[in-house]
Amino acid sequence: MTNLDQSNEQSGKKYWRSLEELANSPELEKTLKAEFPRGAAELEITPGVGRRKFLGVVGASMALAGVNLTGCIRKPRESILPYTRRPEDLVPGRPMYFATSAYIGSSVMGLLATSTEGRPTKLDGNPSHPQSLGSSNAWAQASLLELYNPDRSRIPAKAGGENSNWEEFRSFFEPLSASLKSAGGKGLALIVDSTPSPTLSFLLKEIRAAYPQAKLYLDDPLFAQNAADGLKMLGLGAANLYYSLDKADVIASFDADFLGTGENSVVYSRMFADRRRILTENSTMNRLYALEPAYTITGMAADHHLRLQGSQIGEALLALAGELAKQGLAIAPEISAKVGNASAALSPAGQKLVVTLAQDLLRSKGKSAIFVGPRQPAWVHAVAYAMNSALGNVGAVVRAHTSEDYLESGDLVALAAALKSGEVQTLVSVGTNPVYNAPADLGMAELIKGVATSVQLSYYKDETAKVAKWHVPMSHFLEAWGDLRSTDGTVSIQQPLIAPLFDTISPLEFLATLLTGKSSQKGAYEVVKGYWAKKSAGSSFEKDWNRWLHDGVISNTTSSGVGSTAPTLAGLAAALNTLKPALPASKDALEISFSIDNSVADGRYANNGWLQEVPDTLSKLTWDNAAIMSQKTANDLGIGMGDLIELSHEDRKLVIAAFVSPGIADYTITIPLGYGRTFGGLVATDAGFNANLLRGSAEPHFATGAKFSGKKGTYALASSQTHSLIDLEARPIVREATLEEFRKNPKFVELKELMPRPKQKTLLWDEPNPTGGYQWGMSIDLNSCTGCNACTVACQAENNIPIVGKERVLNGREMAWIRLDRYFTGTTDDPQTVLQPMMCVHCENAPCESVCPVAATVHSPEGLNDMVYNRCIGTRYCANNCPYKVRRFNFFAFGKENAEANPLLSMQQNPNVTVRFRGVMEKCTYCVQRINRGKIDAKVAGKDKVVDGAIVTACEQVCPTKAIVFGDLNDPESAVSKLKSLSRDFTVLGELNTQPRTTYLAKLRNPNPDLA
Amino acid sequence: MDCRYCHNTIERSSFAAVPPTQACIGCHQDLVLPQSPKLAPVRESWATDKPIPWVNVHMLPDYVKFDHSAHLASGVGCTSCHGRVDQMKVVMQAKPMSMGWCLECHRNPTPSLRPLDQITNMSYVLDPSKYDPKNDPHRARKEVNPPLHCSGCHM
Repeated sequence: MTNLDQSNEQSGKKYWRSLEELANSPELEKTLKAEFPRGAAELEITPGVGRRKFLGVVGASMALAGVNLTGCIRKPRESILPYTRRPEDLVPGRPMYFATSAYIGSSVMGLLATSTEGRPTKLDGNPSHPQSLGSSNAWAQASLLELYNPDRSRIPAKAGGENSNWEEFRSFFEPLSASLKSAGGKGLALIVDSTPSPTLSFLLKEIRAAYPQAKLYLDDPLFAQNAADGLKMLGLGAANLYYSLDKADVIASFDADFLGTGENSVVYSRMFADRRRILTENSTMNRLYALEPAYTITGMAADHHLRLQGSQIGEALLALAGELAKQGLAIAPEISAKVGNASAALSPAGQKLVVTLAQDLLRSKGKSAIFVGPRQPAWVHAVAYAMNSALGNVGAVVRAHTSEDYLESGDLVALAAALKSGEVQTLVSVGTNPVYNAPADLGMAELIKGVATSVQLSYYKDETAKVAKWHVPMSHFLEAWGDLRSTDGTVSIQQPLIAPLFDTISPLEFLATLLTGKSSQKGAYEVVKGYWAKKSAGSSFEKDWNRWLHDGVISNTTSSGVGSTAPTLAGLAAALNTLKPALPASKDALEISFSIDNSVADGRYANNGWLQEVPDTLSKLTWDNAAIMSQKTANDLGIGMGDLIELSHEDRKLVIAAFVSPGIADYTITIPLGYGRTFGGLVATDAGFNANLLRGSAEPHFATGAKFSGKKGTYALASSQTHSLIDLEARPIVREATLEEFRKNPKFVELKELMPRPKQKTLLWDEPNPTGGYQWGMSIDLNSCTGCNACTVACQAENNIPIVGKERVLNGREMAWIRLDRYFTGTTDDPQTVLQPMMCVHCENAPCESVCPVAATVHSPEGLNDMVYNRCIGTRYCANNCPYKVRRFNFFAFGKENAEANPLLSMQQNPNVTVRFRGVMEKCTYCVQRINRGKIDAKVAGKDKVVDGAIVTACEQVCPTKAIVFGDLNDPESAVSKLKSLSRDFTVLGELNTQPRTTYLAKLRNPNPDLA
Repeated sequence: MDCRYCHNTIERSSFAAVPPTQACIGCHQDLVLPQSPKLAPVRESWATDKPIPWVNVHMLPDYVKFDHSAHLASGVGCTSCHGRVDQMKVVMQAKPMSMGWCLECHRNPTPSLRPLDQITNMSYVLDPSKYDPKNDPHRARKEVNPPLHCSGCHM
């Protein structure tokens, strides 16, 4: 490998993907230089079976086959089983689309579900829903797989997991609800998650009226409780903030991952990216500052990033308040009195950043936003609101939305106290899993075990189901009626696509049973429709209702929120008075930062193979979480990559694998939540380490004063960051510039070419001469891409791509067609990142095609690099010759294995895409099934041409930032042609003259010149 | 009887759906041969709400995608691939259904095209000297351009 110390003259910047690569690790060099990719060479036969014996066995079975099959071979007889009564409007072979919605992570998402012969096969954003605008995210894409998960709970179970039946459950539950009612609900505790559903809230209010002494608790690690408390502290009531980021020139994120795991991240990503679309030298761009303990998706998109221990974020915000006051902004005395010497806790770089940020914010009064993450304490949220208010952003960018659905509820600490005091005799949990997700010091498992009667409704038989006296199986959101209200007030109907696959009930039905004491008296449909019938007094309700179902959105529910309410600061002042400075993290007093995982969230998506296998944006880890720390932390503690380390905090201990990564605050160890499930399904169980075991309820987000107490061996982490590497060799794979550099030289990408562009068009191959009427191509804007992984999972859902499991990921055999490359540049401590989705780029001069001995990969006249599965004999020459490393080989019959492990999976699969068998190569097809569909639709409609935008690839459709655009290059007016004509357009490995159809738009950063 | 009376999805879908029992029973319940022993499976299906297990005659491998609507829209008649089904006592495969056979027509489609209103006409005789699709005023698209590349049919 090239010595990376010799910086590349053309690009001026070094890029690297892992610390090993930066350090020129010999092992990695071997991987990079090996003729065959890792895991390609070994023939995996059962130990003890030699090759000769293997051949003998094969020969014998072939001979036997010959005996049976001599003579005429006829195809097996197959039957066609049509409907006896075909539903109206159903055309076999044509999918139908229905609007629905779901609570995904902590966001309400309007969805458009594809139903193929009655089976939901794909979920996408509903373009008419203002919170999804046609896009969605990885969680939404993968939530479809949950519907067909074989681990789903199917029947009620009694204590200890003993299977029961509905009759038995009803004969227990109905009298229970009657006796509770007569006791006024005394001793009843109800645990719910944060699903913002008007009907659900209505039912809970009814339950509160019927059981006045019952207590309501909220258990949802993704719910931004602190943010809500912060607004309450200011006298704003039960409100939630909504940021119109498209109106913000300067955004300061204080530990807020608003582009990734945070609330409304899909719409925020769109608004954020819309302000970074640079079409000409005169285009303007927003600027993002991020202060956080470890790189999040938001942090990686930031123009300025400050690594900061999580418990000091609040102090940094106070320092900013102080600086703003110093620069002349009228900051409320309650806050400025407490600024004190807050900036002293910051590093010199941090202090400088705060000063510059303050200047920038003052320049952009009314056009900026201070965004605080849900892990920060309530007072930080309150201070941020007050500052946004002082900067004139409240009303312009930030608006508070109150919800009539709000219900007062207790938290897990209150629940634990109530359980301990013995006042709870009946515990009813609706879709929550407190035994797993509560901090360990609450001892939730033992407490719930001790309750006389406990009933739990959940999707899987999980940790809470194991200790509850009764477990009831829950329906998937695609099987149940409901409604949801998003932050901006928009109400969408959750419309089922399929009758429950198993005998399950939805939360609404469960609560209705609890309320009425009678099962299935009213279905959820009547409950939801009845609620809205009452709400809309108009005579046209039936007509309206049908339109709402069609659109997926209840009209006129979107509100603009509250503009400017002057906050009352007494509560905040009181909170600030009792504030103690955070304990600075050090070698002997580490800070543990518990984060929401990009893939499995808080563990709710842990039993989802697509999400377990999608590499994390920062660490590229699959199937595991880890203790992620900086190089300095690792060096000082003597920890190496993959060491099993023991961390202790107070009286709690956790043994976890260590992962060393750039961009992490020193002495702060980030541990993503959601892994280490002990009982949650085949996929979830034993993947990763349970961070909750180390969590205490006093410091649930940032535990300070933790200790490293020794190594306990090593652990194999399946990180894909060194898989399928394009040999960098100082090649300009990714290109970037600052906005200023771009304005000076809009053609900066050309300066970075290894070879001048005209010279690239030479030799080896004849000039390609495509003849098709369409010439397909794609443009990916690196300036918009945030690395959220939505495209990777959407591709998996669309193209029947199997998952392979941790062991095979370790062997480099992952199958995902889209690889999200993450490059670091700069110092190991404070690098910047560039994210680049990389899939088959459809070279016009395709190196894979020239080496295939059987013409299994050939070029179509429309510029597609076709992969013909039934011709492929698996030589893998193509993969070896692919400079982009985007071909994936079916070393095993992964598709068949997946289908055998999960017989329900075939219900999800796309009937228009071949399920590949063992021994064949596969790769991105530009969603050729969608191209053909679009062309045929145009043909049938008698049109000569497909309209631009009628054919969208799965990755393009899902992308929240619209970074991916696909279309016809023959049409100069198509969106993709226009993007490719921009001066930022560049070709990866252009010097090889492969002439790829997918090109990229260079990344631009907008750094503050004062911080240069 | 027109093919589309039963296979009523062919103009809209890739798939020539086999009719639901409902379509058969419309006539065969009371009007036409209500007692015929040959129609017992139809009556049984209607009574039990279980599908009639039709035998699949025209089978393509799973890695091929054939779209009926595209062929109909281009003016390829039913008999071109299925033969004279109206004259078959038992439906059988009349054409080889091999890739080479498909390509014969894809390479030179014009002689196999007919007016769009003659698609289901079983007795229509293809005669390129009498019908030229380019001069057919009822055709919106004069060129049919069938795919010759792999991904046209293999996805």
